[in-house]
Amino acid sequence: MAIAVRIPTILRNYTGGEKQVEASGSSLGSLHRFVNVYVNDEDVRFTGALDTGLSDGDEVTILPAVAGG
Amino acid sequence: MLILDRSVRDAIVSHARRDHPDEACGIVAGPAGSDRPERVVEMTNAARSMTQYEFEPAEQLRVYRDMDDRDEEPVVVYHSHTATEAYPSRTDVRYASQPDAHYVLVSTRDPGETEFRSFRIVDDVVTEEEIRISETVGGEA
Repeated sequence: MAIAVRIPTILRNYTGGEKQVEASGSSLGSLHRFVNVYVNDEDVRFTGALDTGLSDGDEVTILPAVAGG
Repeated sequence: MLILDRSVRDAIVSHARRDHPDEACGIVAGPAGSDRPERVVEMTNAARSMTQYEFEPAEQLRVYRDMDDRDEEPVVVYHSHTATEAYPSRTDVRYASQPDAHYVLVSTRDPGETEFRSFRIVDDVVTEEEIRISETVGGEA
Protein backbone atom coordinates (compact mmCIF):
# COMPACT_ATOMS: atom_id res chain seq x y z
CA MET A 1 0.00 0.00 0.00
CA ALA A 2 1.66 3.20 -1.13
CA ILE A 3 1.64 6.23 1.17
CA ALA A 4 3.21 9.59 0.28
CA VAL A 5 4.87 11.34 3.22
CA ARG A 6 5.70 15.06 2.98
CA ILE A 7 8.73 15.91 5.06
CA PRO A 8 9.22 19.28 6.79
CA THR A 9 12.52 21.06 6.14
CA ILE A 10 13.97 20.21 9.53
CA LEU A 11 13.70 16.47 8.94
CA ARG A 12 15.07 16.48 5.39
CA ASN A 13 18.57 15.59 6.60
CA TYR A 14 17.14 12.12 7.09
CA THR A 15 15.72 11.86 3.58
CA GLY A 16 18.70 13.12 1.58
CA GLY A 17 16.99 16.48 1.14
CA GLU A 18 13.84 14.98 -0.35
CA LYS A 19 10.59 16.89 0.26
CA GLN A 20 8.46 13.80 -0.14
CA VAL A 21 9.06 10.10 0.26
CA GLU A 22 7.08 6.94 -0.36
CA ALA A 23 6.25 4.68 2.51
CA SER A 24 4.08 1.69 3.12
CA GLY A 25 2.04 0.67 6.09
CA SER A 26 -1.49 0.76 7.36
CA SER A 27 -1.17 2.82 10.53
CA LEU A 28 0.80 5.77 11.91
CA GLY A 29 2.30 4.27 15.00
CA SER A 30 2.90 6.43 18.06
CA LEU A 31 2.68 10.24 17.94
CA HIS A 32 5.09 12.70 19.43
CA ARG A 33 3.52 15.72 21.11
CA PHE A 34 5.96 18.08 19.43
CA VAL A 35 4.73 17.21 15.94
CA ASN A 36 1.47 17.65 14.13
CA VAL A 37 0.53 14.78 11.84
CA TYR A 38 -2.06 15.12 9.10
CA VAL A 39 -3.50 12.49 6.80
CA ASN A 40 -4.87 14.08 3.63
CA ASP A 41 -5.10 17.50 5.33
CA GLU A 42 -6.87 16.20 8.41
CA ASP A 43 -5.18 16.57 11.77
CA VAL A 44 -5.04 13.03 13.14
CA ARG A 45 -6.11 14.29 16.57
CA PHE A 46 -9.60 14.28 15.09
CA THR A 47 -9.38 11.02 13.20
CA GLY A 48 -8.39 8.65 15.94
CA ALA A 49 -4.75 9.64 16.54
CA LEU A 50 -2.91 6.33 17.01
CA ASP A 51 -5.75 4.42 15.40
CA THR A 52 -5.93 6.50 12.24
CA GLY A 53 -6.04 4.02 9.40
CA LEU A 54 -4.26 4.63 6.13
CA SER A 55 -5.42 3.78 2.63
CA ASP A 56 -3.54 3.33 -0.58
CA GLY A 57 -2.54 6.69 -2.04
CA ASP A 58 -2.94 8.64 1.22
CA GLU A 59 -0.69 11.59 1.87
CA VAL A 60 0.79 12.06 5.32
CA THR A 61 2.24 15.45 6.32
CA ILE A 62 4.38 16.00 9.39
CA LEU A 63 4.98 19.49 10.80
CA PRO A 64 6.79 20.58 13.94
CA ALA A 65 4.37 21.86 16.57
CA VAL A 66 5.10 25.56 17.05
CA ALA A 67 4.34 26.74 20.55
CA GLY A 68 5.82 28.38 23.58
CA GLY A 69 5.13 30.81 26.35
CA MET B 1 22.67 38.11 12.40
CA LEU B 2 19.11 38.84 11.37
CA ILE B 3 18.65 41.29 8.53
CA LEU B 4 15.15 42.49 7.95
CA ASP B 5 13.34 45.33 6.33
CA ARG B 6 11.89 48.05 8.55
CA SER B 7 8.41 47.32 7.18
CA VAL B 8 8.72 43.71 8.36
CA ARG B 9 9.84 44.78 11.82
CA ASP B 10 7.01 47.32 12.02
CA ALA B 11 4.45 44.70 10.96
CA ILE B 12 5.59 42.34 13.72
CA VAL B 13 5.51 45.09 16.36
CA SER B 14 2.09 46.24 15.20
CA HIS B 15 0.74 42.68 15.45
CA ALA B 16 2.14 42.27 18.96
CA ARG B 17 0.64 45.60 20.10
CA ARG B 18 -2.73 44.77 18.57
CA ASP B 19 -3.00 41.40 20.34
CA HIS B 20 -1.68 42.63 23.70
CA PRO B 21 -2.31 41.41 26.39
CA ASP B 22 -2.54 38.06 24.59
CA GLU B 23 0.66 36.73 23.09
CA ALA B 24 0.90 37.27 19.34
CA CYS B 25 2.65 34.80 17.05
CA GLY B 26 3.56 34.36 13.42
CA ILE B 27 6.25 33.74 10.87
CA VAL B 28 8.10 35.68 8.24
CA ALA B 29 8.50 33.61 5.09
CA GLY B 30 11.33 33.98 2.62
CA PRO B 31 12.79 32.11 -0.35
CA ALA B 32 14.14 28.72 0.75
CA GLY B 33 17.83 28.94 1.60
CA SER B 34 17.97 32.74 1.25
CA ASP B 35 17.80 33.70 4.94
CA ARG B 36 15.73 36.71 3.78
CA PRO B 37 12.56 37.28 5.81
CA GLU B 38 10.18 38.96 3.37
CA ARG B 39 6.56 38.01 3.88
CA VAL B 40 4.92 38.40 7.28
CA VAL B 41 2.21 35.84 8.05
CA GLU B 42 0.31 36.51 11.24
CA MET B 43 -0.84 33.27 12.85
CA THR B 44 -3.79 32.72 15.15
CA ASN B 45 -2.71 32.01 18.72
CA ALA B 46 -4.81 28.91 19.39
CA ALA B 47 -3.94 29.16 23.08
CA ARG B 48 -5.38 32.73 23.20
CA SER B 49 -3.41 33.30 26.33
CA MET B 50 -1.41 36.02 28.01
CA THR B 51 1.36 33.57 28.77
CA GLN B 52 1.32 30.94 26.02
CA TYR B 53 1.10 30.67 22.28
CA GLU B 54 0.48 27.85 19.89
CA PHE B 55 -0.02 27.74 16.15
CA GLU B 56 -3.43 26.37 15.25
CA PRO B 57 -2.63 23.05 13.48
CA ALA B 58 -5.05 23.39 10.53
CA GLU B 59 -3.93 26.96 9.84
CA GLN B 60 -0.31 25.91 10.15
CA LEU B 61 -0.84 23.20 7.55
CA ARG B 62 -2.31 25.71 5.08
CA VAL B 63 0.46 28.25 5.66
CA TYR B 64 3.29 25.69 5.47
CA ARG B 65 1.81 24.06 2.35
CA ASP B 66 1.55 27.48 0.75
CA MET B 67 5.20 28.22 1.59
CA ASP B 68 6.21 24.87 0.16
CA ASP B 69 4.34 25.63 -3.08
CA ARG B 70 6.17 28.96 -3.31
CA ASP B 71 9.54 27.40 -2.45
CA GLU B 72 9.67 29.40 0.76
CA GLU B 73 10.49 28.50 4.31
CA PRO B 74 9.83 30.14 7.69
CA VAL B 75 12.92 32.37 8.08
CA VAL B 76 11.59 34.02 11.24
CA VAL B 77 9.28 32.55 13.87
CA TYR B 78 8.08 35.35 16.13
CA HIS B 79 5.95 35.70 19.21
CA SER B 80 5.42 38.25 21.93
CA HIS B 81 5.72 38.27 25.69
CA THR B 82 3.25 40.63 27.28
CA ALA B 83 4.57 40.85 30.83
CA THR B 84 8.11 39.55 30.68
CA GLU B 85 11.27 40.34 28.78
CA ALA B 86 11.84 39.57 25.13
CA TYR B 87 13.90 36.47 25.85
CA PRO B 88 13.03 32.81 25.10
CA SER B 89 11.41 31.05 28.03
CA ARG B 90 12.13 27.40 28.94
CA THR B 91 8.98 26.40 27.06
CA ASP B 92 10.08 28.41 24.03
CA VAL B 93 13.37 26.50 24.01
CA ARG B 94 11.69 23.15 24.48
CA TYR B 95 9.46 23.67 21.46
CA ALA B 96 12.06 25.30 19.22
CA SER B 97 12.37 22.65 16.54
CA GLN B 98 13.42 24.74 13.55
CA PRO B 99 17.19 25.26 13.95
CA ASP B 100 17.47 27.25 10.73
CA ALA B 101 14.92 29.83 11.85
CA HIS B 102 15.54 33.11 13.63
CA TYR B 103 13.39 33.26 16.75
CA VAL B 104 12.19 36.81 17.24
CA LEU B 105 10.85 37.78 20.63
CA VAL B 106 8.90 40.97 21.13
CA SER B 107 7.90 42.32 24.52
CA THR B 108 4.92 44.60 24.95
CA ARG B 109 5.21 44.82 28.74
CA ASP B 110 5.99 48.54 28.49
CA PRO B 111 3.17 50.52 26.86
CA GLY B 112 5.63 53.03 25.44
CA GLU B 113 8.59 51.01 24.23
CA THR B 114 8.59 47.65 22.47
CA GLU B 115 11.52 45.31 22.98
CA PHE B 116 12.52 43.47 19.79
CA ARG B 117 15.26 40.83 19.92
CA SER B 118 16.34 37.86 17.85
CA PHE B 119 17.81 34.50 18.79
CA ARG B 120 19.02 31.22 17.38
CA ILE B 121 17.88 28.18 19.32
CA VAL B 122 19.85 25.08 18.37
CA ASP B 123 20.03 21.89 20.45
CA ASP B 124 18.43 23.73 23.38
CA VAL B 125 21.10 26.45 23.33
CA VAL B 126 19.93 30.05 23.02
CA THR B 127 22.23 32.53 21.30
CA GLU B 128 21.18 36.13 20.87
CA GLU B 129 22.04 37.71 17.55
CA GLU B 130 22.42 41.19 16.18
CA ILE B 131 19.54 42.66 14.20
CA ARG B 132 20.18 44.90 11.22
CA ILE B 133 17.27 46.90 9.87
CA SER B 134 17.40 47.56 6.16
CA GLU B 135 15.44 50.37 4.59
CA THR B 136 13.72 50.02 1.26
CA VAL B 137 11.88 53.16 0.31
CA GLY B 138 9.84 53.02 -2.86
CA GLY B 139 11.48 49.78 -3.92
CA GLU B 140 15.05 51.07 -3.85
CA ALA B 141 17.50 49.68 -1.28
